[in-house]
Amino acid sequence: MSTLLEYKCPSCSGSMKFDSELQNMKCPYCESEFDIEILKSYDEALHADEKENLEWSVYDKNSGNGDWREGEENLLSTYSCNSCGGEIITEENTAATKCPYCDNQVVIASQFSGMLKPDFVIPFKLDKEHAKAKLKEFYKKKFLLPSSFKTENKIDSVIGLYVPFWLFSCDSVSNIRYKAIRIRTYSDSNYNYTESNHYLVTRGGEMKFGNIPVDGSRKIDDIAMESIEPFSYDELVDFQTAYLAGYIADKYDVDAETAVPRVNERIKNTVLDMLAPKEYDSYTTENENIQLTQNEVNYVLFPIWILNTKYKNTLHTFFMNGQTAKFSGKLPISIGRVAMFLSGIFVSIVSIGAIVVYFIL
Amino acid sequence: MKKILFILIIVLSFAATTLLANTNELLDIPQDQKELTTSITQYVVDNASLLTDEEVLKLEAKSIEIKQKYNFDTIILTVDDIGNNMPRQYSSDFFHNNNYHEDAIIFLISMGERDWDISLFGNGRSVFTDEYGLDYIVEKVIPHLSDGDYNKSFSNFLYYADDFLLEAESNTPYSLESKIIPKNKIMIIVAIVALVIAISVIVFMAHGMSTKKSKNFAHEYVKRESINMTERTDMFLYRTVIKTARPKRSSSSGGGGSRSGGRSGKF
Repeated sequence: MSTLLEYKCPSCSGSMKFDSELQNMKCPYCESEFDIEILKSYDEALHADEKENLEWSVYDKNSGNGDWREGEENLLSTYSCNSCGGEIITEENTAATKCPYCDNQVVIASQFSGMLKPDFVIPFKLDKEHAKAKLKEFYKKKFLLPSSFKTENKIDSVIGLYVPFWLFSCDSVSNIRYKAIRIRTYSDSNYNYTESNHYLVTRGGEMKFGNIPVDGSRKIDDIAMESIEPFSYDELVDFQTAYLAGYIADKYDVDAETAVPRVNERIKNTVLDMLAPKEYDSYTTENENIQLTQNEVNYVLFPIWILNTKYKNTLHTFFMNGQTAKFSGKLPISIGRVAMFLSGIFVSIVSIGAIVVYFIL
Repeated sequence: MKKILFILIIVLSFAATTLLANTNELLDIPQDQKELTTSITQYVVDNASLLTDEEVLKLEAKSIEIKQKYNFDTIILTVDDIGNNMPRQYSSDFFHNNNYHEDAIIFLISMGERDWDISLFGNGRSVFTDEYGLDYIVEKVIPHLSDGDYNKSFSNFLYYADDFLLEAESNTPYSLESKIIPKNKIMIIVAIVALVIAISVIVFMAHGMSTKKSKNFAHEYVKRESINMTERTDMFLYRTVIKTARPKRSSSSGGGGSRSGGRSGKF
């Protein structure tokens, strides 16, 4: 082996020195001692890192379902909202009256201003009544909900909206290096010992991801859209304008490239979790190398019911997956009710405690 | 909502009635009081006239209650002076000259010398252990003597005697190993626990108010059949050992010296 080579201490990353007395490598900073062979393989592992590749090929507008067929575009109307600037698309015979984002009136725009034709669509499966029932159900047993919320509150609008989504599919080849620790404890008559065995753990794996959705609308709540996942792709069909009848659609204003960081984050988290050496007592990720290949992006519309309710001049928006009925939303919390429950529970426990302590014990 | 309020009211009213019932019990002087005080065995002998008649009756009643519960005599003796006697000797003579039960504790105060003495007889020595119990009682009782609040001192004496006797009945008398936890300390712990429970319940309920949650993973989009582990190496690097001394079981100091079977001093 070359004497010029510099080895890094696996414990503290300092430069190792050869200790002639020990005939072994010793770290002058943290005093750890290492076998040269171990250091050598450690060093090899460190230098074997390839460059990560999380690039996606840009969505090719001509790759999907192609352009609109002749006359197809004339069947669509564009509405725009004077209040929030939202633009929605619908089929010519469907009159959109309210903006799904801000609950204000919408006006018809002069001309259909163009939209990328979606590759696929999941048609609406559940109706408006189902969405309303689901909201009622969501109110149930919510003890912190202001009592006036249910009584004074009426559902302002229930709108079936096709929300644009990007679907990301890819193959992944990953090589992750973890620092892992296995802990053993034992004791003799005088001492307890905690022995930490440090390992350099490498895990490599391949897995395919299919159709991870990221919503392509800036105006719609991203977290709410993730909450109502997953959609069942069995019912994914080629897009036809007819599916828009009675519903409205949004056109994407977040392009596929902008959605990439979010999908990469989810892929990375998943890979790290699936390859993690969970058999160890603790581990930290040292280096990750994830290569994405065979990637494909599709542009689709998913059915979402949007329920807007006004309470004390604030708009509360709830979402229901129009295919699976999964519901998402956030209800207001009454401070008065929090105080009531907090003091009620506290006083009850303390009273029972007092009875037990002073009269029974 | 209403249901919960209702339950709360029930619990609170139950608490209130129990409290009231107990205070009544404390105030009630047993019907047969007169008869017992004139009987041969007298537990409160107030020769120095430090107490009012009513106070004597109450203390006597408590001593009788203790006697009935544990068959143990708790005797309070006040005198103007003890002459040339040592307080311990005086208590001992008093105990033997009267017809008391063999298991007993006597609390003597002599106003002339401002002496106090607590003496133990029979199994009293195991109930009020020398290294813990007596000190505990002295701490609760003697300061009131110095303040001149004799009634308070004596009622505390009987209150803690009752507590010690009850604990001794369960075969684990209070001692250095199993100390008394004062009730107000228990209540502070109860209050803290109650607060933690109440906050946890609120946090849990508040959590249910929102079903908005980010999905940071994509496990459901992984095609199961495509998973293939390609590498799996575990390289041992180094070992660190942390050594901590085991806590030594402290051998209980002592037992040396004669067991006094009591405490005495000046107030």
